[in-house]
Amino acid sequence: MGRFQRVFRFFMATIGVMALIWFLVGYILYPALRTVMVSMTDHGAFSLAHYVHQFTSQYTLVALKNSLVLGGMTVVVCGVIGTVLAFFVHYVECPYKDGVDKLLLLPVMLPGIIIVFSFVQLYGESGLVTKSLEWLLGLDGAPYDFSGLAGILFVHAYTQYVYFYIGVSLAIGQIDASVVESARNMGASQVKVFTSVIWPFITPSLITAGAITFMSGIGSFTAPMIIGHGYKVLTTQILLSKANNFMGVAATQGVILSLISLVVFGLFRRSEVKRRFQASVKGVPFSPIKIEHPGLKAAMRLVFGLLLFTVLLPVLTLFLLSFVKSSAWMVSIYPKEFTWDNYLAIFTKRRTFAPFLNSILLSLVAAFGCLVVAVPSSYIVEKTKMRVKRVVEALVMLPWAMPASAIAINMINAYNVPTLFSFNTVLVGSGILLPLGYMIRSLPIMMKTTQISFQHVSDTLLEASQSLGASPVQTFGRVILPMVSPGILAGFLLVFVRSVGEYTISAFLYTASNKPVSIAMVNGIFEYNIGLAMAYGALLVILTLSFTLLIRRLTAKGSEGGLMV
Amino acid sequence: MQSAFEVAHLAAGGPLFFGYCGREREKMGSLVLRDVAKYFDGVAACSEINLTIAEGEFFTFLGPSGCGKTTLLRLIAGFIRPDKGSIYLGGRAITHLAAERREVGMVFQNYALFPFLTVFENIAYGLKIQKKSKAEIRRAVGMYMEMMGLDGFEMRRISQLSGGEQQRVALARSLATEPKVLLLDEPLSNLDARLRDTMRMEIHSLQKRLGITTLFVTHDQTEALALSDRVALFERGCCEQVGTPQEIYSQPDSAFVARFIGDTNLFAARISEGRATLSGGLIFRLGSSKRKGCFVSIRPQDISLSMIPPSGPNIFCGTLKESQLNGMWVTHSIEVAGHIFRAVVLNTRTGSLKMCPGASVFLSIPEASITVLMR
Repeated sequence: MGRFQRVFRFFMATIGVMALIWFLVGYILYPALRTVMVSMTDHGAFSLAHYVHQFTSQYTLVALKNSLVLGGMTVVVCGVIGTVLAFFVHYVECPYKDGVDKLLLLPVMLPGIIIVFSFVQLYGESGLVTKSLEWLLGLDGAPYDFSGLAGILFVHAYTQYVYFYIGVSLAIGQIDASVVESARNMGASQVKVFTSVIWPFITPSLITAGAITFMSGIGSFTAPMIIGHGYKVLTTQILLSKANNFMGVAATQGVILSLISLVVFGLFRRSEVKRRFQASVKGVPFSPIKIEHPGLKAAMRLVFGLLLFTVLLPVLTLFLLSFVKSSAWMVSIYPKEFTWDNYLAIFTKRRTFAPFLNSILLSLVAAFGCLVVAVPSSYIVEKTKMRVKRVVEALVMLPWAMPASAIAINMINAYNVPTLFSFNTVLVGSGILLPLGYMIRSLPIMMKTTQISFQHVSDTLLEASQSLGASPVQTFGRVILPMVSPGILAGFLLVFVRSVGEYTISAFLYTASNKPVSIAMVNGIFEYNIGLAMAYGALLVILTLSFTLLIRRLTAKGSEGGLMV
Repeated sequence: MQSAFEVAHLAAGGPLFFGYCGREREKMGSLVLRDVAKYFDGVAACSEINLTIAEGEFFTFLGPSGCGKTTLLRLIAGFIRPDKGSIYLGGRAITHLAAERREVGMVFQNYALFPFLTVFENIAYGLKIQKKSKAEIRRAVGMYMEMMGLDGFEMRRISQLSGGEQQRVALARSLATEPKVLLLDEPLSNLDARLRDTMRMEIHSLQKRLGITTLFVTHDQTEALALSDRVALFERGCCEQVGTPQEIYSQPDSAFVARFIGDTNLFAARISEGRATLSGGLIFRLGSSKRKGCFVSIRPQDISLSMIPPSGPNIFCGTLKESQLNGMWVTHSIEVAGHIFRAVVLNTRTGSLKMCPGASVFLSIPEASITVLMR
């Protein structure tokens, strides 16, 4: 009986692992390789013609240059903003620190499309801020041009400083106060302490944040698409090529974008590893510097007030405009008539409710898919000694290095013909491709979340359970599951939140039957139905933020349990 | 002050520990290890281990870190399988039995308490696995909580407990399933010095009362000497010596054992005709001892010091190099013919020698206190 059970268990485990690898190869590796193949095929034969064409075409070269400039400038702008903010909040004693800290994380939680539209309504040609300035200063036209590179950078500054902010904040928290004190003791001035002690502590975080920001900068699609106008970047060119059915061109551009992303990330990573160091003993936590000067204190409060207002403004605008009567707000600068009609329309008309429902369903499918794939994957990586674990980890994490537009192109290239992986059907044009795209995009982040959960389950706990008589199944149900479920649920919600307002993959993969809310928002804007678009946005924000709070509660609980072990 | 166990025992007035005392004898466990070996990447973590641990014995695996003692404990617990040899518990071969079916309780170094469960639920864990009825679980958990002085802690979270309390919960949890053998993996190493002493005494008295076969892993010789019925000393995966604490201390088999257990003066020597000759021409008379070997070991407390020459064999005159006060005793370092001898003297108000470095002092070493070691 015992032997039979063991053989049976081994057999089932092998089948499970094979199914997992089959999925990962079929839906991550194969699509990526397929795109590379498509990019190297011309009229059915192997050829580098697409690459030659891309690197000689003025259009692509400009887009490539623009992408690189955008990525680089995003890093610089966000680096400065994020670092300064982190120092403001964590290095000196900051009023209402906890609240401010949470609020500053807000932009990264909101769907990008919502931020772009709020910005357009605020700073666009006929935006509220633009018009107010025009009116105040008595100008004839807008005092600035909110489009092209400057506009995109403005949006990026708002959404992507968070990577630097989080990284530097954590690094400041890890500064060893006793090292600072010993530097002072040896005669270092405040400035010298900063350059010789504080700076080395935060450099690795700056480099990591730089890598992530650069990748998200060159992979950015929403802002260039909606406010880029003449400023063409690779991501928008890929959609254009796809729309014109030049799949070879789109594939080539996708490959180029992914390669740049990978190479730059690799370079950053190498330089980060060189600079990373581990303190030999547990340090004394750093306590923020107190500001005594009353004038300085007041100035800080003022700066903070303004800052928080700026951070909150887009969200407030979104909610305000979601009550606007679109037809009545064409002629005046400020909206005057407010109504519940936009919300009523969403919830009473089938046509307007469908995108909202679609997004929720699509995101649920994506989150569920991530759960099914990431939980066993992270279990294999963290808790087993299987030889395939490195393969599993590499495959699951691969999409992390690929911009969303490249993921979408990969899916199209792989599944516009019947394949073994899709059970001999064509997936392009079917409703399943979009949630699959969402899922592949979020798989790495789900993997990371569940992996951390499994790391918290120490092997001695499993052994303790075993020595108390529990079988592997009982141990899984009574020890592993209670410990990892908060993290897994948090990951599930995170995938949902990331997918529900997603725009890039949606723009590539949606069909008439599963139009998501982000596409409906864009359509609403272009049909001048601003109120409706904003109501969609407001609902998304409510959904996103409430789920984010839930995630935070879950992960806080999880880490408490984990720390104990 | 009474220990928590004693309080519990008094309060219950007698047949408190029916869990063990009322049990049939065959449930108890004698443990036999035969030729057990385990290799990691070709390196022996333990090899050729042959041990027989009697029912109800408190047996300690002692040794420096990395000597294989924890590996052996984990082999017995069933978390790893031996590459060679067999393990028998209560006469039954358990070498290839899954850990959960061995009826072996283990207390881990970091306690490994389930952080998401309360104290009560932690102790009840194994009983629930055994599908005991609710009433039985309540009764058994209550009994072990009382025994461990954990009354009133039922609903506490593990994070709300001190190190010592966590230790008690871990012990109660292991004992509640009534295992045949209790394995303790350095359970005192995470406690501060005072608490360690208290817990040591409590574990000792608990083990004696329950009569459960107990295997204790430690690198601390004081713990091993104080607690154990017998000690096995390990080095580099091999069992160097097995014996009662007194045997191991007074008749070490090797230089390693002599050095590891207690403090000693160890010298390489040439042994012939009842004499040990050290470099520099120093000669010890060994009396009637016929042991062969290449080391001599002399415990510091066996060396008597005096300012005037005493009579008897093995009298040497040396120069005091240094004296260190340790509170209860004083350690003197004395140089004799190029060798440093350490001798300890009780620090009494009347009896202790008052000497300054550089003073001449006489050492007297009784023949019986010189141990000759082969290796």
